[in-house]
Amino acid sequence: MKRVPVLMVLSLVTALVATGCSGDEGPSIVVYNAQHEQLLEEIAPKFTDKTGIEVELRNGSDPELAAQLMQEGDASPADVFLTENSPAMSAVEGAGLFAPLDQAAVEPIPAQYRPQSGDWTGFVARSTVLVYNTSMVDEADLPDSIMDLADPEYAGMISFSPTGADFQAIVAAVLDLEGEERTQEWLDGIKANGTTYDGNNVVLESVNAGESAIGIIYHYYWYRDQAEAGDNSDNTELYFFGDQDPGAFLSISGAGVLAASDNPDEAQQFVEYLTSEEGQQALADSYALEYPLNPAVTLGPPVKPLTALDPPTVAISDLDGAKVVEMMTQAGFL
Amino acid sequence: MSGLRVAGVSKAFGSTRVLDSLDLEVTDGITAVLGPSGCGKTTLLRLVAGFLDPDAGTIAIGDRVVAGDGRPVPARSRRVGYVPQEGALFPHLDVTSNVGFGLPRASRRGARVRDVLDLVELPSSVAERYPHELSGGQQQRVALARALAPDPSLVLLDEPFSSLDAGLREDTGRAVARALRASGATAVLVTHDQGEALSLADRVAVMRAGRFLQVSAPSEIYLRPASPDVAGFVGHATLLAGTASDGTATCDLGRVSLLTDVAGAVLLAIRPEQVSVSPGASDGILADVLDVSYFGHDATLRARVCGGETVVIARVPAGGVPAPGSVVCLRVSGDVLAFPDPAAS
Amino acid sequence: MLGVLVAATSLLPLAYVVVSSAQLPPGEAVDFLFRPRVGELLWNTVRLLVGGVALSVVIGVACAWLVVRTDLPGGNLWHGVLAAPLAVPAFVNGYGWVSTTHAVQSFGGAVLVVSLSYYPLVYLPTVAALRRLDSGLEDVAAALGHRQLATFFRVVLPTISPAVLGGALLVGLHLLGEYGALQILNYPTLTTGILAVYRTTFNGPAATLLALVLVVFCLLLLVLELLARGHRRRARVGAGVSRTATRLHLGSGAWLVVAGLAGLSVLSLGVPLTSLARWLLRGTSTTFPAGDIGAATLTTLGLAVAGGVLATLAALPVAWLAVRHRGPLATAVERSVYPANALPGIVVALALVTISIESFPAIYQTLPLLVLGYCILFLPRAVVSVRATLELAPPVLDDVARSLGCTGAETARRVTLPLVLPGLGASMALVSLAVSTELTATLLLAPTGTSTLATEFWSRASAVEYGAAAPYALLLIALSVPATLLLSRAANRDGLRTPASAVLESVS
Repeated sequence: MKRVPVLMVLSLVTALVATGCSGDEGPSIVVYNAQHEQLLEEIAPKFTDKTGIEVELRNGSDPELAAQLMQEGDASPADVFLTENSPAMSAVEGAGLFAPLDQAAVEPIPAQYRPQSGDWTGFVARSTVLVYNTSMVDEADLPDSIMDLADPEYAGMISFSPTGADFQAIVAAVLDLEGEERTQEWLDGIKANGTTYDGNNVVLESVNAGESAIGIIYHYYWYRDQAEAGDNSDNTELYFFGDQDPGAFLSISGAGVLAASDNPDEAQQFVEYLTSEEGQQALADSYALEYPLNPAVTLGPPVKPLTALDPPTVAISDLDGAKVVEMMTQAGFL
Repeated sequence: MSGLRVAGVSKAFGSTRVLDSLDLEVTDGITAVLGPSGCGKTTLLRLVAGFLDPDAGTIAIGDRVVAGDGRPVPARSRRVGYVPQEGALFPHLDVTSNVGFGLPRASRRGARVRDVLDLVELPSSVAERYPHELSGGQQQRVALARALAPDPSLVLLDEPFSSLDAGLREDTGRAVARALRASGATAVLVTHDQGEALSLADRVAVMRAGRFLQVSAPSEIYLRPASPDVAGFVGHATLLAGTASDGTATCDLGRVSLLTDVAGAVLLAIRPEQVSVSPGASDGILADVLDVSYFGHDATLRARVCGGETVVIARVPAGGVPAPGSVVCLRVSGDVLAFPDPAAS
Repeated sequence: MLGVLVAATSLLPLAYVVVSSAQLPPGEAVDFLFRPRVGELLWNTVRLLVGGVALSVVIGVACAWLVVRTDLPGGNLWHGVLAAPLAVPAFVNGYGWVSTTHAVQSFGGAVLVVSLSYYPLVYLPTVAALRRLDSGLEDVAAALGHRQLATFFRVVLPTISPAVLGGALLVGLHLLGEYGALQILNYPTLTTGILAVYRTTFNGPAATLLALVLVVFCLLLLVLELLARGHRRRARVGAGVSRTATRLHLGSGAWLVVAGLAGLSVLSLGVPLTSLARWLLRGTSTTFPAGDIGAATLTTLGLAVAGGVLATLAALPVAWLAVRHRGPLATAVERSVYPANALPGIVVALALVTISIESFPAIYQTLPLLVLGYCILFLPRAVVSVRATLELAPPVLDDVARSLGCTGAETARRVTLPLVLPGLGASMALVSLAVSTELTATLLLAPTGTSTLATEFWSRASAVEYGAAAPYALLLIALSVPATLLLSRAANRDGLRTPASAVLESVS
């Protein structure tokens, strides 16, 4: 009976210590990070080393953090917003929440990877790919176009992660390239053909385990697993679409500074670092294996080079996330 | 002067009137408040203890008015011992700590605790036990010891034996009465058990529906009940309508002689032991035996007068108990109490 | 007054769900709700609920009866083993299973895994009820010519049914709100559906509509349980002498039973723990960032204690009202905290996010808001346990203390507090256990830079970095052990009703 109060006091003290010792002096910024947490945990310290500016990360998914920013509006504590895919950036831009980026931040990035407004910029990119189980499918049997996956011949063979922003960006590209009617048909088709999972890692793992033959993912999930030990990918190979097929869609990860930022200078510095040669090299050298967009930096092998891809031309600001959600709800994914 | 004086006390809960201008004076000894459940006796006790405040009237303990004159004295300052139903010992304290609870800190584990445990006739071996390690009777004695320890002038006991089984109830009751008398405290014992009230108390207050029907010594209550209600409740008397004149009355049991001098329509209260039963048809009123309760030392039977509805309770010696279903002959012996029949007037 | 305030606060998320659903054009809402996808989610939810509750009840009751009423070899040892899965959070169990075999990513697998996680919620109250059961009842049944099995079904089961029903209700509510385990099992239900929609549209109206459906489910479950329980009385009242029950002699069947229980333990503990050990030893993504792990552990401990203390304190006025001032208001206040039990953490969290941004921007993304979220989420649990604890100190004890000269403060210090403190401690432990493994609300409400063991585990496990998730899983289990011990001991106590066992009973 006596132990209870002692335990309580101990834990209370612990609680106070745990929650009370996070106060920091000096300049710092808050980054709403929808990119992979691990990547920013690798990159942000390098920025801090260089500039002395501390970076606090709030991690989440693209639409989650975007919607949160829109709800927070002027009250947002965020200084910088990073996403995995561009539709969320467009949504925040549409809500007028970004401050224009400094010229120095956007200049290194080719124009096709950023909106004309200059409110934000791409900083890395990822390619849509198929991953297939080599003991279940021959490369020769894989389709030329991602649109073909809706055909009955792929019934029961494909898997993907429709709840993720990654897949939704791919759907946005399909919508932009193929129009609403064909996209809805395609969604209905792959729904009938496929198994859904939550997360591209899970899709990769399920293909590796032979639960489905083909998965729709981004390239780096496979390369990363290979770079580790191949636990979830050794039974699989990658297949890149080409010919500017919607399936060769290159999705842009964006970075922007919020108008509500209390530390606009530090925030601009952070984005500038991300697009600079130094920052891009750091991104390229990281575990991430996403494509840097500054032409001065290239991703080494074994990743298929950016220049060898043949992605479709998609106007980055045209990707309509809201419409995609509506159509996917219609198709019964959500 | 120790004692309790309750004058004109009324109490209502919402629109339900529980006590109606009640008067009671207790000087010393044990007074039993006897009544069926719901008659208001527990409310009376809680008013005296100070857990409730009366709507009207005054309550005085000893010479001190504790309610009805300005602000009521809080329960903790009334110096009243309280023994609730089932004892309500503090489950987290051992016997010693329970008994010493109301004592000043210094004497909580001292001689006084041992003294009161002696007083309630508990061996010192129980001192270290916890309530759940005691029998029901022991729990009650500890509860009394706890109430007596601070040497109160008045002890209130609320149905203290109702949760005990019969044999234990009698033993515990006697022990509690002895302890109360030895302590010299004035006690008010609330009970619905007339055996308990008549055997333990010096005075009995019969209560019904928020009023006292009679307050007297136990024998007085039994032999000279003030009303048919009291007679029926306390003595299990059979109440029979009759017509009285010149010291006798006629009723379904024939002609009986009366104890009291009344005339006209009366209610006769005939106690079981006043009805003699002889088997077989002879001299008296014929009745069918309905059922018999055999107690060993004697038995009671219920019999219905032949050709009528009247049911009479009679006590018969253990030797000659008639069988249920047989026909017996009933006679009333001795003088019978009679009250003017309220229904007739 | 305080009680009303607490009840009102706990109703905030529900009000949020109802009000924001009501703001939708009715046509749109109907279109959204009457879709095949929603039907699919409902069907999945219902069959998981039925299957999971049924299997949990069968396992829980059978094990309880074996441990309490037979001469099972190693009896008390088994009690510990059977209660232990409570210390393995369901999502950790799911991770253990999925990283061992993908076969559990199916309806049958989901039912199996959640039942293995949640059957202790039936087992523990049933053990407690069986221990308190007057074995005289069974003797009577035997005297009336019933065989042991018939006695069990006709006498024992009806008598302990309030405990079993309560446990079943708890399992049901947990299943309705479960996210992590079902997500990792790839078994979509209303709750995972809500999360999917939330993650796509933040707190858009669609998710709120689904949440409304879920809330209706929860209320239905509460009503069902109330109806099933009816006006049955507690098994026994008063201080009756507890009789030692005769235990059924298992004889040569003992080893069969032991083998069965061992099999169950292999499934409920062996699989997740082995898988955890395997990932700890050889996982390629296993890294031990000691600093991160330490920080997350401290944060989790602190939040668990803060949540436990605050929820228990908030429960006090509500429970006090219910125990000492019985009446329509008290009942309304007490009952009004229960719907929060079935609200998924994310609904509570999003309600708080919206409300704080719109009305109290100062507390948005702060620890107090997170702790408030925990409070609302786990208040029902705290209220039942605190209520049961307060019942251990009946008003008559106050009367006695006052007649012995105690003031109100003294009565509290010398009588009420000593009686209720251990129970309050147990209540805090219960809430802390829940807080330390809470995932979804934490993800949303935690201030920037604050991560708990559960969120760290989840971010790794959901990225299939099983090895990296392993150390966090281990710590989550370690943190849950003390509370589990407390509860399993309380259930196993003979005779006397202790505060902790009262907490257990009240769980039912």
